[in-house]
Amino acid sequence: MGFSGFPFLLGFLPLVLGGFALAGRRGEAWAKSWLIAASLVFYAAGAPTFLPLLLLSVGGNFWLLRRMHGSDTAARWATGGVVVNLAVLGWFKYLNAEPALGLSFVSFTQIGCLLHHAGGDTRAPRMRDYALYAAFFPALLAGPILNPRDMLPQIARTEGWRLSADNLAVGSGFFIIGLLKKTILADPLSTLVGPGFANPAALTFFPAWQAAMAYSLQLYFDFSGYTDMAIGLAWMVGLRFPDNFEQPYRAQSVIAYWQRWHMSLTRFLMTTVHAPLTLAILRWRKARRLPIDATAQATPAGFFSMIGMPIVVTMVLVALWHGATLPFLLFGLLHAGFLLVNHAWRTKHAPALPAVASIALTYICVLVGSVLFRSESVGQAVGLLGGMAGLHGIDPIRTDGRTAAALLWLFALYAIVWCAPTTRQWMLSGSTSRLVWRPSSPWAVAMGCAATLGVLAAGGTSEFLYFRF
Amino acid sequence: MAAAITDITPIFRDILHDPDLDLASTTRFDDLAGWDSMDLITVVVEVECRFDLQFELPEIDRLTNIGDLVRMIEAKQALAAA
Repeated sequence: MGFSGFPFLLGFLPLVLGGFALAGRRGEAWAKSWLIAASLVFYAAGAPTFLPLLLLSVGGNFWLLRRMHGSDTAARWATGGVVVNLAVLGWFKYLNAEPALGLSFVSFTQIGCLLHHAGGDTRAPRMRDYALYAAFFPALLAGPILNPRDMLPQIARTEGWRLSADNLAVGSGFFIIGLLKKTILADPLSTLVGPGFANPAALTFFPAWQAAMAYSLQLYFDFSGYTDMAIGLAWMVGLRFPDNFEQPYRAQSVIAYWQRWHMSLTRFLMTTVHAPLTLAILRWRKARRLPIDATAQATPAGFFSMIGMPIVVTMVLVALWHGATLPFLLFGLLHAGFLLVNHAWRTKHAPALPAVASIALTYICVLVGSVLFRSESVGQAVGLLGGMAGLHGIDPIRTDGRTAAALLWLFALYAIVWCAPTTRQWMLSGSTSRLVWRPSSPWAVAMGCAATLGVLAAGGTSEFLYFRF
Repeated sequence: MAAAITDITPIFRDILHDPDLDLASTTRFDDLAGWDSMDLITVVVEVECRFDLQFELPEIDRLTNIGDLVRMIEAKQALAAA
């Protein structure tokens, strides 16, 4: 059940909010229990066969957390829990005929919680709170991956479990903007992306660039639209999710891009893979009296061991998380290469390019990566990249109405990507500008119209691109 | 705390190549020129060797300024001495 489908918009969501309003009057426990029940119904509607797996996963991890508190061997229990979570994820993601919906996000959220409690000195959350943290429906299928340090205290609070006008106004604003991003901006691009990637060897220079650019925009508006909707849904019931996007296509380096794209996954992997690996390598070098300072990091051997290896390992895991295919692996390695060049540039204190050139160069790197990300085979990716390089010829840009409309549409989307504020900036800036949202009658009418538009456009909407991960 | 800041300042000066760097307990890592996550891990490993301590990752994750680092060093030293 996608957020932009009629069953969710016209059935599930009004019921959940109505039930939450009633349950909230009876107290915190009722409100939380209602949201947990709604989350299980939401998951069962999309993947009924995997509901027992979700229950087992949440129950098993909760048992581990209780076992770890106050234990001298908490770190070992946490390590064992991480291994079991990854084994289950690996089985259902790569080996099972039918992948378990949302398991990647649920597993990573729970692994983060195990590691957060690995010291043994942090009290385990209450069962109801943990179930809501691990299985809350807005983040269940495609994140954001929730950080226990931010989320558990919010869920553990006993006050504020009421449906309030403020939360409903701001939350529905996030949700409607996300819905528009998905249905109005992302979905129509499939008419440019699908045909382009279906027969890439036939594409000359301009059509190949058009297909790649359309896909990079579709992926951004689809996934950031989903995230806005998830943030909005959580906000409506008083919970604050972390951001997952911070204008990534405005990044001035590939390092900055990864700090602004799918931020919850980047943070998770930086904390659980990159930082521990770097720490282990630096301790290993220090124990052997090898230098670890910036001068040592600038030598080829030091750069490879202290900077290169953690990045390559992390990016290979990013690739495998998306899927065990050769195009995904090449996508990960390509981005590892970009990051290494970026770090080498920094290490050598090379001069920075002008901002516009940095943004353009970074975006072209991301665009090339997105071709691999979208392709089902290496041949398909090579075909499209060959077209972008002009290997299939350079025809003049066609001047028919359809091509002009497509170019105009892409131009408008780039204007949004590069010039418009983020949803959070627009909803919460507190600016007195009339162009910025505020809880007022004119904006209520405007958002009502936008919601109607989004719901009408949702009729032919497709599934969110990130549901497959 | 002042003595401990004096102890760790040379580590930061070396890593950031800034011989004139002055630190205060309120100095945020993110406000130091050229600072990145790699620098934090390098500082932690240097501090571990200098003070014969070991940090856990969740502890490193919680460090945001010089005061946090100094308090953590003092707490670990107190625990080791007990």
